[in-house]
Amino acid sequence: MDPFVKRCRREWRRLRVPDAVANEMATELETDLEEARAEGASAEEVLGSGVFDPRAFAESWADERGVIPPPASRSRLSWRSPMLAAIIALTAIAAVGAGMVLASRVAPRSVTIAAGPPFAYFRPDLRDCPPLAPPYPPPPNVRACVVQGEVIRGQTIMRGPSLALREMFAAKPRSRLYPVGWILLIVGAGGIILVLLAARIAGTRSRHRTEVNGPMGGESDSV
Amino acid sequence: MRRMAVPPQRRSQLLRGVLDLCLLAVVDEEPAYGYEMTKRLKARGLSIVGEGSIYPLLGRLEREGLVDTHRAASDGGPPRKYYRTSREGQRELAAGVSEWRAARDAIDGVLGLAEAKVEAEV
Repeated sequence: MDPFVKRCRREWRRLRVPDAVANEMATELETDLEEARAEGASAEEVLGSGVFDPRAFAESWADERGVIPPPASRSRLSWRSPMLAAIIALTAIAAVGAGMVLASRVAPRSVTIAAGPPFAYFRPDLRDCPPLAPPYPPPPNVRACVVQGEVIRGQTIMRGPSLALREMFAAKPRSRLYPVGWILLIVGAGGIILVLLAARIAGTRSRHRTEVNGPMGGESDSV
Repeated sequence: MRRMAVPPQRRSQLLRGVLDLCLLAVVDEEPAYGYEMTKRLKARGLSIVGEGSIYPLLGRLEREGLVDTHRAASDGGPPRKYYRTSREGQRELAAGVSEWRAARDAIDGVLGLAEAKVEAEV
């Protein structure tokens, strides 16, 4: 294959010109160049100044024929696949994290609230409550035992919020899955939001570039 | 008399406006493939060496429906793509020739006056 034609084919492939059309143009060019060579004519007599820039020539010809897909769809196509893969991966991470959080939430839980040092905490699982020590009575409407003084390692200390909220954030996991699960869930969900934001920004910029530069065509390599 | 050098791009600009008509005229006489068109143009004194290529222009003419194409066997080689004017192309050619003649006559009128003045000064 003529080197010029080969470079044109490469450019048409890059521009995603349909293969059938690219083959047709390549054949037309190849046969004309071959005949010119056989007659002792230069490639410039066939191609004009296009002989010095195969890429520009190939793009111009394909553009004038109207066989190049619109820029917007090309750019959309170029980043759509990685974006989808990222969203799928982040969704999987978030799902795994959610599963770990749910699996690690086991009763009994104990809750520590800050009531001034030393701390008081609840042990809802205890049926037989040890004697209370003043001045740390249990909060109203809570059926639990209050055991004064002991702070279980790893418990979260909360101030002020409702008991349900304290229980949720102060839950003592039976395994290390609980904090890891929360981390994965937050990373997954946050990552999905960031990817969608980036996709939106990229889409807006692509549309803006098309409006500024105008539609392709009009300016060509032809005289 | 000092001769003013014709800017090289002036010829290109002039050709840019009429080369499509020239191609239509060439294939209107008889269908032709790309290289054959350049040979016919050259035979009539119009060379595209140093100018842009005719292939994008042919692509535009084809896209706009001003030429029809067909494949025909060549001598021992692969089939060639031949171009010929369509009905729309013939109408466009006629209108273009009329416009060209009008513009040419007007410009000749202006340049004729300028030429006479230059000769008088010399």
